[in-house]
Amino acid sequence: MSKMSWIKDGYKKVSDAVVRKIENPAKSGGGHFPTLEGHAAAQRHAEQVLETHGALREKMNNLKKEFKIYRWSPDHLHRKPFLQSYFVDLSKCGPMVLDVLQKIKGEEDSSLSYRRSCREGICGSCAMNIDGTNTVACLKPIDADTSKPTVITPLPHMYVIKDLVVDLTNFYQQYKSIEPWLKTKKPPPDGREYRQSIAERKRLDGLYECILCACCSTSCPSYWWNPEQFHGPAALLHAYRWITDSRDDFTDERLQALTEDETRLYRCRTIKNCTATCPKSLNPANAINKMKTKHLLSQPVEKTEDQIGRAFGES
Amino acid sequence: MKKKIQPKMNILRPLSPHLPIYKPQLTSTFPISHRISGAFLATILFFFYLLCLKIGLICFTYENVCQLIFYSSKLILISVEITALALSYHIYNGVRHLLTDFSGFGRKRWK
Repeated sequence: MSKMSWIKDGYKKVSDAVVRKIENPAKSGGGHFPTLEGHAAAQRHAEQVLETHGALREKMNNLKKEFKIYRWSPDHLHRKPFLQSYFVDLSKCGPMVLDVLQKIKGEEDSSLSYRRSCREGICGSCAMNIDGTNTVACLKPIDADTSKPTVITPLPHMYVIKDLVVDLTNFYQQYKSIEPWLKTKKPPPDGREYRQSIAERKRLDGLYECILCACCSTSCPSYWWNPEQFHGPAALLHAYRWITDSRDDFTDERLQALTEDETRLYRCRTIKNCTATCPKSLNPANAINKMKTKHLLSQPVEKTEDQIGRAFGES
Repeated sequence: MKKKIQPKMNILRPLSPHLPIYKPQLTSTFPISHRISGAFLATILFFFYLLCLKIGLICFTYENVCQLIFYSSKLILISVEITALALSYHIYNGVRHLLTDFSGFGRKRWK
């Protein structure tokens, strides 16, 4: 019996030491609790409580999160782009990523460049890639997990002008090329305005809210590999907005302009990254699919037979 | 990558990172693995055709060929498993693709 208790005591001592080491590797002394003299287990318990309380208080006062932000300057051309780390106290900062950027620019490093305007997710200026997905910075809350850094880079596969500012001229040209205005052939029926029923206006919901932030187009791998030819989900969403508008008379011509060659619309491979990343929760993939359907269904059978006949040499 | 903004300044602008930093999501991994499995199946098909249909039974009289087949017999089992995985994935994804692409064909159209 004495042998068993010796083994048990030894085992308990070793396991206690190991557990203590795992749970508080830094300190081994802990606090001194005079009321708990003689109760080793209670003293250990009290030490653990003290330590977790200290860690909690420390975390509450100092929620420092690391932000790794993409930097490149045209003033220092020889330097390659790099990720610079900034540490921001989250308890003294607003909830959105844009607040963090403003704080860094105001207090730490005023050379950090980014576009911003409305701070409420309606202008689309502050679009950037945060933690791997494209969103507008003013609508993206900071991930409160302070153990992992947040990586902020500019919109993917775009030429960088400085830091987080990219060149969007190609994107705007593509939007211009789909002719985003009302084109009619006849004057208004009563001479005053082009009328539209409620059901017809409802067709435009989910299409007109696009803020042209470029998040969807720059998330599409098909747009990465062919930016000059493929129009991109944003421009195509707007093209569909004008095609479905019942007041617009040039539907067939708009569709034909998009489908003349196979690159403007049909480079879409339904990857659907655009819908997943849209900060306004719109669905460009759906709009593109509807346009493809409309185009494929609009070929009447008589015309195709006639074309086949001509191809085989008949008159 | 050269961009002329003033006649005397030629600035070489970097391209912002795309593949290394973009988060791999469900929407983006499905199409690329569809393409990869399709390419894999095409090469398997091509080599199978060359190997089994074109080569002729005379090859078994060569000692090296019998040795090769003996030593790679375990590998064939693994590659059959992988091919089956690729084929099933490709078929399921292809059917899903067809269904989503042609989902608008049955509905009532407004024009």
